[in-house]
Amino acid sequence: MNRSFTSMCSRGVFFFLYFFAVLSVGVPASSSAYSLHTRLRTIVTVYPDVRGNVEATLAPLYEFADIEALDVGVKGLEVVFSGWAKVETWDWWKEERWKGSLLYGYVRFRSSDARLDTKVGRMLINAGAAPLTLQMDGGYVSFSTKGGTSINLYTGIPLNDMDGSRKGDWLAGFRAGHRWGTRAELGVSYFLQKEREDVNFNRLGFDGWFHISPSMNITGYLSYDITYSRLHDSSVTFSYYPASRMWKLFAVEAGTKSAMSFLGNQSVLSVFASGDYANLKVSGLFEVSGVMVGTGYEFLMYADSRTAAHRIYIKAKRYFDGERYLLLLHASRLRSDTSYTELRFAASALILTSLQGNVDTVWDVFDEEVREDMLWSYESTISLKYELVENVKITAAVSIAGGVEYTWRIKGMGKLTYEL
Amino acid sequence: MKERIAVITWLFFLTCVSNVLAATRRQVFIQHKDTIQEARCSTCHDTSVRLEILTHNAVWVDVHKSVAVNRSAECEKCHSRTYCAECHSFKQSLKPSEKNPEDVESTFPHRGNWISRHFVEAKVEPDRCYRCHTQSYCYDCHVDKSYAPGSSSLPRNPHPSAWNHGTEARRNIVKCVSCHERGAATDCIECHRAGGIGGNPHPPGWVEKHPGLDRETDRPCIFCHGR
Repeated sequence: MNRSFTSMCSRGVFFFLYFFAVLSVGVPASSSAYSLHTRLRTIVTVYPDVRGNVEATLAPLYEFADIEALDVGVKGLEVVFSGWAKVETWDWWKEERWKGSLLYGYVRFRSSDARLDTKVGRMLINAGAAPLTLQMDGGYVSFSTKGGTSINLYTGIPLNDMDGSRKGDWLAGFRAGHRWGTRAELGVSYFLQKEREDVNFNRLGFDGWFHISPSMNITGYLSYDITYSRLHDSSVTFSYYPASRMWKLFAVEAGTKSAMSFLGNQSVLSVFASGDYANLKVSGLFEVSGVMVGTGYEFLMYADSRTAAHRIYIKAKRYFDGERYLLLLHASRLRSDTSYTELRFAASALILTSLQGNVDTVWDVFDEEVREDMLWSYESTISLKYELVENVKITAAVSIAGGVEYTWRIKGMGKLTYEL
Repeated sequence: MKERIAVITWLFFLTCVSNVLAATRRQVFIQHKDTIQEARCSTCHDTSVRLEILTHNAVWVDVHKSVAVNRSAECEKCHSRTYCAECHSFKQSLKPSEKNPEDVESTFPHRGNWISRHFVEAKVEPDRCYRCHTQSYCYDCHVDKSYAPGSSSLPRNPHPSAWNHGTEARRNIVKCVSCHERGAATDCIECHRAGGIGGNPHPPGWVEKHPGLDRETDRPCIFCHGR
């Protein structure tokens, strides 16, 4: 099966499911035995771009659909769907006029009485040693005991961007954990992914959290590569929630990352990789006169090159007149091979009962010229959101940006949201 | 007199409660004010999880992973099953902040003119990119923009004219990986495979230091040596 045929099939499946989803919107939830939650978003953007060496105007039209049918006939039986499609209405590149994918599409049954949760279809996996939001077609089952023990099992076929063919690809994994009341939890997990006869991932994971006191906890994880007999990555976070009107949170995070942790075993560069690094992050959150302030410092040390990077940031947020107005300021500074300072200002106001106005501006100022004499970049967006009727909102936005690819660019956007 | 004291006490109590609730409401983020006002947290929430931990404060995005992975049932009490995809659906080709420009409060990834600084962040924390994106994601765009081999032309080659790639690769190959890693089809192998024009990339003493490796069968030796 070649890639284009596979792509065509997946498109066919997608559009069938999408058609089903759109039709299902017309079914009033109250008239059926199940409850239906739907969100449809139609977005159109218009902007200039560079394709190859040619400037072109692009106007892609997107459709995002999220559908959840809960308690379908039987309590606990769910059908969940999330997908998107895009069509280039103005110009298209490499004959890719249509694009789309199914992100989720599964049938789920869960019962709190039986302490069981099962899923079949396309889903994202977040369990133990599995890579973040692993997308697969397959099955998942989770069950737990009254004593606090839980087990998650999953297996399926991974979706792989690097190779259109999925023939012979498969994965499997589990996580087993035990929770000691409100005090602590420990988990052990395993994840194996193969592409044909090659092992992509073969990992053992450990994770857990421990409440030292009602206001202090530690959470962490560790992932070990069995193939190479070495640590993949690890992280420990200590959080303290002071009983203070001003201080809300103090957290310290320390961890290690290895080149293999992001390359996976599929990489030949794993042999040469020297990109192991450690990070330490200290962050805090406090409130002064109604202003929420989050601040932190992060230190990254690269093992082989003996170099380091530092990042410091501060975020402040304040509501006015209840929650009618919002002001947000964000500043950060990265010191590394290429250093830069980021500033962000955003504001939101409920102008009328159904009309919300927003402005959002981000500046990046580099210490020295990078890429085609560029010293800074920016993007400013102004948007208006209006509730046409109940559950139907319309958003219009325009942004101006400048930076590495263009001295300046204007982009328009319109969105229609339907939520039920 | 007693009635007046009772009214004043009652008003004072209401003011205190509403102040506390207003402050809580800002932090909790999810708009379930009726439930909060009626103090029915435990109706939905697992009370073994401290609500502070679930509070969506300024650093929540950094720490939400551990809760989402180990206690996802808590998330699902407020969020839809497809909520995660709002940020983690990296195959949508539209940034979350572009999809929701009116939502200035959310900590979406890649805000602003991200493309102008992404190469800096990719060098500083490469594993962050690869948590969501595969290398083909980078490569496809770089080909389209004429930054990478495979383009119709390569006028935007980011490397200087006297580029000594060997020195840089030995110093920190993670930087190379930001653009050049494509699994078995990686650019390095093009030249450095056994018998290739690039020669042997291994440092002196490589074989002695790796006695356990079988270059005919072990991954990733086989990409250059095997089959």
